[in-house]
Amino acid sequence: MQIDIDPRSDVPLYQQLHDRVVEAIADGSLPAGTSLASVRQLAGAFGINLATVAKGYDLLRQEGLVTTNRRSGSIVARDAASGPAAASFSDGWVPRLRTLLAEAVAHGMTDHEVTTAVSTELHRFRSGGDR
Amino acid sequence: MTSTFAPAFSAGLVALLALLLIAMPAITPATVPLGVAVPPSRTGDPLVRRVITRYRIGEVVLAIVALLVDAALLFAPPVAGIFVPVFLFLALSVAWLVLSRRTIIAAKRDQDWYEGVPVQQSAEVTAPTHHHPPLVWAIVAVLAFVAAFAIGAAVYPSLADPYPVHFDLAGAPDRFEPKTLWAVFGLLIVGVGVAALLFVLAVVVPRTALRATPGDAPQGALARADARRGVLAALLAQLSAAIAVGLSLVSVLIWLAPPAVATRTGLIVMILLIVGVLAVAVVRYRRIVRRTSASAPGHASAASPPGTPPRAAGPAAPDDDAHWKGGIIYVNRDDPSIWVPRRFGLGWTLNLGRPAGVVIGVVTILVIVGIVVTVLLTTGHGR
Repeated sequence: MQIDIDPRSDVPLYQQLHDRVVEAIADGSLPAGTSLASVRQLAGAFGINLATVAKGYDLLRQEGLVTTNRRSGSIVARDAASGPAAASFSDGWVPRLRTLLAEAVAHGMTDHEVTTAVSTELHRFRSGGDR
Repeated sequence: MTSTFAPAFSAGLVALLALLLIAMPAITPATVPLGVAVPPSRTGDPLVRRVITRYRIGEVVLAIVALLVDAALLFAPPVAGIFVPVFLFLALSVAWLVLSRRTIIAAKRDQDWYEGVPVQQSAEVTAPTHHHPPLVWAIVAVLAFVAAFAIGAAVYPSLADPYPVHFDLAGAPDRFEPKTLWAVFGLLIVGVGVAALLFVLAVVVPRTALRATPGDAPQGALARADARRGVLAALLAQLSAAIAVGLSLVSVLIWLAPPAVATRTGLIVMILLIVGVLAVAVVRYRRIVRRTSASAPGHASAASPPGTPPRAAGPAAPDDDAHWKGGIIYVNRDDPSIWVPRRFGLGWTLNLGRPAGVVIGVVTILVIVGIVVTVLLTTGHGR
């Protein structure tokens, strides 16, 4: 599974790494149980700092999307088919969604535009992404 | 005793190097002309094409100069006859390359070629899968060595007893030693070591991290990198087989034919085998580059007429010129890799931004200098 990062973007590289992996899990490209490259392998493949990749993986681990153990390395811990989200998840997710929606409203997007955008993105994940 | 072998050898070497240097822009990704990162929309830029043409003409001129020097040194000692033209050609070629690429660098900076071009870097996030080693070439090598050892064992009793162990550049024996197993089979034993080392590399190479060629357009870059790795692994395995077959042949010829004929014929066959294997690798690699680039949407076609505005191209690789000193030497402290894919041709280069890279680089230079000095001293001594 190929992921792309943009070194010139304002979004930090570790965040881009995290975001691309989460998107790949959502669209089914990285199903639960998939082995991920080690921090060293991925940093070497991109030619970026080890600490950057480690930070991205840490974030994924904190969110429970990835687990790492000494024997099997990092693997995808859950995906859409792994059952309902933990209650603690929505506690963190809803405030972030609120900020995103606030941006849309503040920029004058209508409710219809917002819901259309949401269902387009959701549909993309459910139909296996554009990969 | 004057010999035409040394000048012919160095002329061949200069010609081979010149061919490689002239072919270099063709086997480098179009987005790294002469080792300068440019966005895909600029690969067909008239300036880039003009500089590449000028670079190639310059290399032809330099090769001719080196060949003239080679001819002038026809009656010089063989060591000077070999080293002077080859090193002269290499030094001038590097200088000409550095000079040529400056024009592209200046145009890129002055016209801001990366302005508004989206950039992207790709990598595999899933754990790497392993490839199978090309076993068929190992079998060829083993068969050649087994046959040579068998023939050697059969003719051993009938071989001469001071046995010729060293040949001058004309192929005539100039040192004899009492007949021992090492004197007779030494060349083959060294050959087994070299062939085994090359084959181990052929097994290791496909297991290295898959990394896009620096500066290569992201679209299809990983597929190209994977294919490149495959071509290199095949090349190493074939070189291992070529050396096995070549050295087996040399040994058998030394045992069965007059030494002068034997060393010369054997060497020529081995050089032909190695050149053939290299040529196959270049052709295969070019085919892969063409296939994976053609399927990439937005990859500027080289046929676009000059003067047309750059097409809306896909994302470019980031401009990484800052990490490539002279376009060739890689220095990046952030990059954890000690070995990174070269921008020129096949293989890897050292990351001199890492302490281990510096150590390996220094040791390698010392070993090469040591070998050159040893060769100079021993050949000088042998005459």
